[in-house]
Amino acid sequence: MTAKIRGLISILVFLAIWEGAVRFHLVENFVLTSPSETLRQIGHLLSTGELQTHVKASMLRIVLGYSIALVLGVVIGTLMGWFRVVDDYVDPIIEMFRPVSPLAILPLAILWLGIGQSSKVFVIVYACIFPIMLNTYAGVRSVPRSVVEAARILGAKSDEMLLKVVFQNSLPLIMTGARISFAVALIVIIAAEMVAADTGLGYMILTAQQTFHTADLFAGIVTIAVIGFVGDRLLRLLRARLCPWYVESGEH
Amino acid sequence: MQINALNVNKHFQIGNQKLVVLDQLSVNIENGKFICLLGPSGCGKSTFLRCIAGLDVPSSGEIMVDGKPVAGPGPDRAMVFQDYALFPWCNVADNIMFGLRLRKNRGRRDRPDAVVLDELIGLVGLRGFEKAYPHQISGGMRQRVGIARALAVDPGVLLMDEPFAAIDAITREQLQRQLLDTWEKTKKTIIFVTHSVEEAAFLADEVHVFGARPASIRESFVVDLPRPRDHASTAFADIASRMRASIDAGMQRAAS
Ligand SMILES: Nc1ncnc2c1ncn2[C@@H]1O[C@H](COP(=O)(O)OP(=O)(O)O)[C@@H](O)[C@H]1O
Ligand SMILES: [Mg+2]
Repeated sequence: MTAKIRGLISILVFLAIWEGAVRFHLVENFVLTSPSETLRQIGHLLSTGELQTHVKASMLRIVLGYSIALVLGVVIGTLMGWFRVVDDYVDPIIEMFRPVSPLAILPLAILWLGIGQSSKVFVIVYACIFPIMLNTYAGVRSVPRSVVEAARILGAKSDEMLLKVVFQNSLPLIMTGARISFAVALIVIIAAEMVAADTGLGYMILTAQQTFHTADLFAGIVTIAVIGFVGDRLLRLLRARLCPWYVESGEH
Repeated sequence: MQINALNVNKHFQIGNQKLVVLDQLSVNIENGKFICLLGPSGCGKSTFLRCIAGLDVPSSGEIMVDGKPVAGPGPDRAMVFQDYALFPWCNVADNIMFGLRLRKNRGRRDRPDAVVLDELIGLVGLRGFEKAYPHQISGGMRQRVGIARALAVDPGVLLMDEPFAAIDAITREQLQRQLLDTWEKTKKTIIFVTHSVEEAAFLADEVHVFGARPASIRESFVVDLPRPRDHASTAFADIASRMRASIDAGMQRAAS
C-alpha cells in the first residue's frame, strides 16, 4: 500500500512540474504541451475520431503480427526445447538473426511485400518472435526430469507429454515472453509507421512534428504510454488467470 | 505383481570412463510383499529401481515383471519420487487424477472420477486440501499426494525411491505407519528404497542389502516381526544390527 502511494506521489510531482513549466512560461508551449492541454487535445482528437483511426490502424498491425509471432514462437520454442536435433539445427539461425534490428528488416520487408499492411505485420512478427521463442525454450528446458518421468509412468504419450506437461509447465515463462513481446511490438510499430504508413500512431506523431502541431505530438505519445501500460496489465492478469499456481520470486 | 531380476548389469559412460553401478544383480520379489532395498547412498539402489520402472535400461541381464520382460515405463509400475515430482500447475485433486484421466482419454471406462478421488483422498488423509496447489502444502502432504497419484492408476507394484528421506522425523514415522495401513488395505507389492536401517526394519517383509558399488544384493533378510513393530524391542534391535553389520561389511570389502 505504501509502495503504491509513493508511486502515485512520484507521478503527481512529475505532472505538477511539467504543468508548472508550461504555465509559468519556463518553456515555450511550442516545444512542450502541458498535461492538461495534452488531455484536452486527446479529447478533441477523440471527438473528431482521428485518434481512434490511428489507434485502430496501429493495433490491428500489432494484433496480427503479435498473434502470428505467439503461435510460431511457442511452437518453435517448444520443439527446440524438447528435441535436441531441432535445437541443433535452428539455434544457429536464430543467433544469426537476433542481433539484426527489426528496423533493419523493414526496408527489405517493403521491397518484398510492398508498402501495405503486410510489410509492417512482418516486421512485428520478426520483432516479437524472439522473446516468445526464447522464453518458451527456457520454460521447456526447465521442466524437471522427474516430473517428465512421473508423467511417462502414469501413461502420458508424446503428444500428451507436450500438451499436458511441457506446455503447462512452461506457461508462466511463455507469458513472460508475451509481455516482453508486447512492449517490443509497440516500439517497433511506431518506428515502422514513421517510415512507411499513412495511418497509425507513428504516422500521426511524425506528421504532427512536421506540421508543428505539438499538442498532437504529445497526445500521440500519451496514447502510446496508455496502450503500453494497459496492455501489460492485461497480460499480467491473463497470466495470473492461466497460472494461478505460479509464485513469482520477484514481481516487477 | 512378481518381479524377477537375473544377472542385471548396468554401467554409465561418464566421459571416457565407464562407471559400473550394478554387477550381476539377481533378486526375486514375490507378489504382495513389502520389500526394502537398503544400502549406502550412491550404491545403485535408484538405478535398479529405475530399471524396474523402465526409466533406465540394464546394460545386460533381464528384469521380468509377471514373466514378461520390462519394455519401458508404464502405469502397472507406478513410482513415488524422493522430490515428489508433482505437477506444480495441478492442484491436489488434479495431480492425483492425472494418470486416470489420461486413460479416460483413450476410452477406457473406470469408476466415476469423483468416487475414485474421494477414496484416495481418504486413504492418504488429504481431505480438505483437494484444491490446494503443491507449493501451498507441506513436504509430508506433498508426498501423500505422490502416493495417492501412484495408487490411482491401480499399479501392480509401487516403486518408492527414498520417499520420506526429505521429510522431518516426526512426519516420517506417521507416513511410515500410514503406508503400512495402505499396503495392508491394497495388498500391493511395494519396493521401497531407503538408506535407513530403521526404516527398512520397521516396514519390510524382506530387506535386500546392497553392497558397495558395483553393487549386487549382498544379503537378504526376512523380517519376521509382527506389526506394528516396536523400535525399542530387542528383536527389532537385533535384526537392525544384523543389517547394519551387513552394510558395514560390504563397505569395508569395497574399501580394502
Ligand atoms: N544417468 C546417469 N549417468 C551417469 N551416472 C549415473 C547416472 N545415474 C546414476 N549414476 C551414478 O550411478 C551411481 C549410483 O547411483 P544411484 O543409483 O542413484 O545410487 P543410490 O540411489 O543408491 O544412491 C552413482 O555413482 C551415480 O552418480
Ligand atoms: Mg537414490
